[in-house]
Amino acid sequence: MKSHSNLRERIIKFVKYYFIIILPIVMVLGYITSSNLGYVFLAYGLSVSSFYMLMKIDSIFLSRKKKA
Amino acid sequence: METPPLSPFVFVITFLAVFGLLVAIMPVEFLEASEEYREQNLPTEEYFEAMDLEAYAETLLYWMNETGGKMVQGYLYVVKMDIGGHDCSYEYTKANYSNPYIQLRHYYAVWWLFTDCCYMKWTDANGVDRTTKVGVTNRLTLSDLEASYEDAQPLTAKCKHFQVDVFFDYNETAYSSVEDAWNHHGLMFLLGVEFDQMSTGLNAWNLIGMILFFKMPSIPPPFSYIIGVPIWVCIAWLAFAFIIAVIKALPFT
Repeated sequence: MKSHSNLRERIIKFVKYYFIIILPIVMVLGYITSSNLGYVFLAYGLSVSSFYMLMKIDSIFLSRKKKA
Repeated sequence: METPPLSPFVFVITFLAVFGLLVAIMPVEFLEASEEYREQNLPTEEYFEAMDLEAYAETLLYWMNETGGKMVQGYLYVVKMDIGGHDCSYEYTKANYSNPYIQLRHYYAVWWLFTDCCYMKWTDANGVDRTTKVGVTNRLTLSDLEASYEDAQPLTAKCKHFQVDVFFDYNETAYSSVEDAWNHHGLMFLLGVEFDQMSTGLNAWNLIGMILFFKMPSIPPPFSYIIGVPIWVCIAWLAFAFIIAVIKALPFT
């Protein structure tokens, strides 16, 4: 169980830094390729909020810690 | 009495706030139509009135010729098209075929994953049903087309999902009849979908689905990969955690 919990923490930590790192990358690439930056931000925001929502569902219903 | 935990409420309020903010800043094109109006370099004004074009949200003009589509079964041409956000194909028999007909097929998603199709029914400008049903298909035969052909009067093709007006026309100087135009690849038809029949509006769940399947409009697929991968990671973890939770809940483990 502890290893699963560690894996969960590592995934969250990884994705957190991943989101921070890709933000300037997609902004720059979006600008270079003349993509619509509004759409890029929208997709990025939806991705972040979806990840947050799913991990919250996980922490509340699946990986919750039992009370001592 | 123990104080209930605040985290679910904080979560719900935060989520709704972020979600509402994202919906509020959603570009207006998403709410109305994501498909850009297509302009084609075809001489529509020679055959169709400008009124016919302007009355519709989107129009497509096709010639019935042998380069217009992919032939299947040796006699039927199939041309894929997207009109008003509806995934359709029009299918017509080759010239001088013994039993000429046209059919319009509408493809739609079932449970977001599977694709099904229906054949659209044909009604002429006077409301007369011109559909010839053969098996599961609904066809407009050449004889019905000739019988219902009136200049600048559209036929209506409809299914349970939407309807589209279809104008047929040909160069009356060059061809003597609809059949003559058909057999010499001179028949053309104009599809017009009205504003309230458009299927291009998007909602946030559709957008999340598009991110997941790397199909966000106006964003190159590599960006979609970069942005969508964390959600797939999350889904993989959720599946894993769910299976572990189920295994732990079993009585004999």
